[in-house]
Amino acid sequence: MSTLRPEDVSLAVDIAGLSMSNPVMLASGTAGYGAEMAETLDMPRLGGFVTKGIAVHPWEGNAPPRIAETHAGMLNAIGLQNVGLEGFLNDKVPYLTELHGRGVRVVVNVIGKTLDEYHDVARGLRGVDCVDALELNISCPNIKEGGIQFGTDCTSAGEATAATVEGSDKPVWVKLSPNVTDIASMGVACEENGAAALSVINTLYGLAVDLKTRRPRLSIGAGGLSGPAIKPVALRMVWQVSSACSIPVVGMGGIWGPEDALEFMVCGASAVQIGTANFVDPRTAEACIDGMAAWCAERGISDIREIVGTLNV
Amino acid sequence: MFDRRCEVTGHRDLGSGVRVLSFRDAAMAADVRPGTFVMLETRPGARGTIAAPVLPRPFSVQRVRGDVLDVMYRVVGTGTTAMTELRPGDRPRVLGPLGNSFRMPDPGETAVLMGGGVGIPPMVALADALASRDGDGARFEAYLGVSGAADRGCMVGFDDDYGPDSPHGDKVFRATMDGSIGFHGHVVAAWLDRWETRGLRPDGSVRLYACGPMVMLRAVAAAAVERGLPAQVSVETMMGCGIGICMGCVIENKHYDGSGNPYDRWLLACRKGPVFDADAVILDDGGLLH
Repeated sequence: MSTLRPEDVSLAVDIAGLSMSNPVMLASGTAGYGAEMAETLDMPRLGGFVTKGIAVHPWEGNAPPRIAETHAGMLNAIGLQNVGLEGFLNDKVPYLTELHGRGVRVVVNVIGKTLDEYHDVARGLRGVDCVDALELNISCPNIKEGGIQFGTDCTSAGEATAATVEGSDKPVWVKLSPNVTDIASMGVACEENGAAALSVINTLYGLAVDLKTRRPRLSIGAGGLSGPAIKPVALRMVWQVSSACSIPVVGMGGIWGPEDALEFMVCGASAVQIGTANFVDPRTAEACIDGMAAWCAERGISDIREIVGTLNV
Repeated sequence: MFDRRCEVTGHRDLGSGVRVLSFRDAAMAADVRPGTFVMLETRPGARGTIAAPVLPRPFSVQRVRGDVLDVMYRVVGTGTTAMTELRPGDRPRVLGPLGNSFRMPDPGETAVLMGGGVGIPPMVALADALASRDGDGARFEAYLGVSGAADRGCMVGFDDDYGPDSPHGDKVFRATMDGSIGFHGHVVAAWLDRWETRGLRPDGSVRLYACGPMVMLRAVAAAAVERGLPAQVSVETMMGCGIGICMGCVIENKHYDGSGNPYDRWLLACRKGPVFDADAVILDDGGLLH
């Protein structure tokens, strides 16, 4: 029996030079711009926070219904409704500055429909001190390439990464789409184009049907599946990407509690993000932080980094 | 807003799948205003588990008595089916109260409350708030519509406290689509029949409030606009979180003309609502909400 106490476990991690007090972050699009969560979650306890995706101009998003519950998960097609760069700088940065000042790493998720748009958001966030890193969402339609997502093609993903890196003065993480044949090669393409870290995974493309009307349950048809239903897919992909790439991987996909988060780290993730669980229990992140420390203490693990990538295969 | 486990104190089955769940939380009860809602964990202990129903469900608060809150629901799907298993002593997680509330009438104005089916509960909350005011502040009439006698349970809040012998009982009017109770026809038709066919419109200025299916809210909004009457509606949308982070629960801004900020086209029902001025939003759920 270990004599280690949970408070003695070091949860600190480092993502490409960015130190975090613990590995637990909130995932983009599941926690607004931060302030929305502050009434229910003790935000300064987070290791990091990822904003809702920001485009160079505001996006209106899709018509409702935008969400549908499924077995062990949900589908969404929000359509990346966002306030745009200017709205973000004017209205959202003040809260994020306060959060950053209390030790939480702030990562801005960046979206765009052209390489120039990615680049312009990155440029617009230059010198914004509260922003520690960018997370590139490449699951956006590429207008120039007929609406095919940047993230489903190695060349496009690499170009989007390079355009964002070129525009930015901050480390650029890339959030990989799972809707590909070989996610490891996507990760390699992003790494070769300057990505500092990889977020794995975004939602899986899925469809829910209303049998009564024989219509899709989302207004636009298909959408992104998230929640515990996708966790095994996410773990497999974290394992594959972390094996193929030398940059850090941030793992996500159906994390519902501390053991889920620990599984991601064992599979190679250096940090984790909580997404859909925020809707069910906005305090999931706190439960994960406490539970991860307790789990380590019970096993005499004094530094959580010891478990990263220790999957026995 | 509070995030806690609340003890279930009662659970009434009113027939036709309509039920009222009661739970206790003094602080939450003290913060409820007419129109506010709660997000309820439908299956006790669902937190931390992964089986459906995954998401909490939104319910308008029907009534507060002391430290006990009532919500009404109809069993329609996975979440509400799970809720039927809640028993006194169970402690589901509740987040609330959430959202905005109705703009209360000015002294001397008559509040006209219209509720349809399981949209009646926020009208109960509003009636309770009005009835607790003095003199002129307490003037209201209520129009309640259900499909037929089997759905009488939806009216329980008014039947319990505003029966024929109560001070406000003579101002509560019932309508059924099959004519089995009260006016034969739609609730909006019942209102217009009383006011315009029979000339029984109250003196002075009025303010309309409505909650029910979108088709009913559209009828209320159209009638209000035509007559130049101020009206507010409480809308139901597919809601994932209740606190503005999933962005699923939107309703279309009627005044967005494409020239302004596109972010303003879709309004979050959980944060900007669930109560909207009737002419501020497009009352359409695409027929997909059931």
